[in-house]
Amino acid sequence: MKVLPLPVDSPHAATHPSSDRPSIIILLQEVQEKHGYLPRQEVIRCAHEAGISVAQAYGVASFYNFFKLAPPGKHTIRVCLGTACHVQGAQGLLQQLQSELGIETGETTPDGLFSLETVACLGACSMSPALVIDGEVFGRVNPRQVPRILGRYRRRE
Amino acid sequence: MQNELKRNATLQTQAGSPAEMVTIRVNGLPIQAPQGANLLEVLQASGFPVPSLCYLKGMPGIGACRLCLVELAGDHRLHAACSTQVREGMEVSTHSPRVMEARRTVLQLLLAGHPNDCLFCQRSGDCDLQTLAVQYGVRHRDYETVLRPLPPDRSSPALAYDPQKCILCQRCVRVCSEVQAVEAIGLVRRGMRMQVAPPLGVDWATSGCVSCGQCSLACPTGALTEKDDVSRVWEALQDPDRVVVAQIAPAVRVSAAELWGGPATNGTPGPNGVPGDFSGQLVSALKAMGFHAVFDTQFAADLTIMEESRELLQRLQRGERLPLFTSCCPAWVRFLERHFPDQVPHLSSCRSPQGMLSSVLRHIYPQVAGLDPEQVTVVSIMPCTAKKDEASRPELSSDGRPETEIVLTTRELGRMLRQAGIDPRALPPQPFDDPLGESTGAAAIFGASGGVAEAALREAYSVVTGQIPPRPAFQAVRGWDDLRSVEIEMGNVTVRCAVVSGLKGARRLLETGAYRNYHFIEVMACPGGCVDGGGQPRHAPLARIQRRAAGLHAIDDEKPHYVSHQNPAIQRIYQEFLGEPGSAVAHRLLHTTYAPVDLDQLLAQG
Ligand code: SF4
Ligand code: SF4
Ligand code: SF4
Ligand code: FES
Ligand code: FES
Repeated sequence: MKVLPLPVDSPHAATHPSSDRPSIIILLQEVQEKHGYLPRQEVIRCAHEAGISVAQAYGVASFYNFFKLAPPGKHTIRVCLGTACHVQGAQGLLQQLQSELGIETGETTPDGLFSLETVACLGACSMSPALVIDGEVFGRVNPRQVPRILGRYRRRE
Repeated sequence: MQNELKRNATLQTQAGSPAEMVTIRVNGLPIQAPQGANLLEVLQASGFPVPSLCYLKGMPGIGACRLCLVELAGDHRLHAACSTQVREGMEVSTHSPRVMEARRTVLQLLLAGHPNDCLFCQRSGDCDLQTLAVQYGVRHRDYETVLRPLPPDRSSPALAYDPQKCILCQRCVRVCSEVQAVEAIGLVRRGMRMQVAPPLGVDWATSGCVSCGQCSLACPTGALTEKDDVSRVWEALQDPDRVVVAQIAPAVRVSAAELWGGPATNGTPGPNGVPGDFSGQLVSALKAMGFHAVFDTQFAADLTIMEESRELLQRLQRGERLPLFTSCCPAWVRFLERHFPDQVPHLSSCRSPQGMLSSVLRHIYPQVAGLDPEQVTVVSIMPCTAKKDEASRPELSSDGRPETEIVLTTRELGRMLRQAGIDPRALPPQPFDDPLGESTGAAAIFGASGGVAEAALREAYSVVTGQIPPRPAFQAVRGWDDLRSVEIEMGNVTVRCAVVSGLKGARRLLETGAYRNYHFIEVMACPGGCVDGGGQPRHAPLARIQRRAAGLHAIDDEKPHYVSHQNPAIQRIYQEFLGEPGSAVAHRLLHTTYAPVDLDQLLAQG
């Protein structure tokens, strides 16, 4: 019986050489420009191209608001966060919408019905706080009215 | 654990020579430390256990939790010790009023996002966050509790994740990607909805996670834990229509005593604190709890070796599908299936020892013991979370029931015995039940990295040469590096064998194609093997893990039989039921099939 310790193969970690790879942010931006959002398949492709894990790529994609992880919803809600609206409690309104819809700004509800965005000023300062759904303006919105407003769009389905 | 190894290596070899020693003052006391060393580690090693939640030994500090704040003379900012390097002349204060106040605030902010759930939490009593709250005398909340509106993920058969208990320290993420190179999970989203998750909104069960549970060893809170199956065992034990039998894996007998704060009072610890064999006490404890019989997974480890060594020799002879990969680690099996599906044909078709013993218990044992096979319920006690995943595989079910009905990790066993009010240390040891309780030394070493290879080589040598290899043989495969390899000549057969400890080494071997240089490769997903399995007692430093392994090697040394086929119970089961290793019956009962998948497709479908 002969037992020889072999030299251990220690090839450099082939796992993820990174320096010469394109940046994941740039790759994702290209995809978003082309599709308007980040299709799942494309996030996976970008991860491979950037030489990082899909988990890392998705971490980046889900961190930044400007990346959309789902196609825009049927109805787009834009909440005004301009100065006048801010003073009139736009934050509370936004939070109410977020919890009512179960999504963050920049996301789409799982049923594909609503996406939520914010804007700087709608030019409707006299009606602050204001929001717009598909071009229809709602002024002096009290957070308590949110369920009723959403209900109108939900019922139309 | 693996990182600790690496750190030791780098501390000694930095710039080819030991790092220069410098003097710093800590709370006025002079302390010697290597220049450039991690300040947190130096403090913790010199009698100042500065608290830390996100730091992982041996990895760069990331400063995420801010608990390790210290004050440095001449600097008005507080510094995270885990991200600070030792410099000559540094003056550190670890508990100035500012430091204490800052730490209390950090702790209070963490608690503000944390549910009031300690009473019902699996980690209560073993939770780093709870310990700190006790240590800092927290008696009330300074801030109103605001819980993040995030649901738990209980999809995995092995693990459970509760984002509300998650402090976002990222230990799990870093272990999964930097230690295991599985990269199954990451931090997703931001703000109030930030959590740990697999990518693209898939759940844990549908992800690249291989259930190794190394993340659950690292988690400081109750956020990421083994899936708790204790109550299912109680239910089974209370059901009069069931005959509940247990099996205990090798690595559990050298670690379980730690759960009661030390080695057995009866099972005597050996020199240097090497744990004694605790299995006798565990058998008594399980019997006291109501188990009908307790068998030894090591019997099935011998069975595995009988089958796998024949498979190796056969593949060597035919030159087909080489190298042969071991298949006793279910996390490694999942890793191949999900991350390297093209290499799955290299896997041995042998079930793991757990799978083999459960099959024998369901199909052969009832005949021998005169029991109704319908009634036999197998509970296995494992160091391993991945074994829960394995038990749920459809290939390992019969008559619509998983052959291993419930898997308890070492930690769950500890909790269950506590609930029952049983302290195994005080119990007189009992032997395992016959005949599936007998084992050789070759089976005991399964629980330490290199053990399966060593046992298989012993057996292959006996088959090829007709002789028992003289002790010690093939110990060159033992060790703590993540990759080891040997070339062995036995008779006219040459075997090039590699041993891989931890999945990072496995990924390296596969991605570089270097695996093709070998005939036989053992892979254990957990660094060091099952002695540091994902279901083992937490907070074990490297030295303790090495002692667990030494405990298994000591059991091997004391066993009268060195090679698996010498086990009389193994000889009998082949004579009476299985015929030859590799026979049709053996294949039906002891072997299995695999299910490679395209992970990208799995993730894309969601
Ligand atoms: S169980 Fe293993 S593979 Fe799964 S997330 Fe934890 S460390 Fe990663
Ligand atoms: S699950 Fe545990 S280890 Fe992972 S980030 Fe949360 S608290 Fe840290
Ligand atoms: S090394 Fe052992 S404990 Fe870890 S996953 Fe594999 S079988 Fe389980
Ligand atoms: S600030 Fe809201 S409409 Fe102008
Ligand atoms: S341990 Fe240093 S910041 Fe967490």
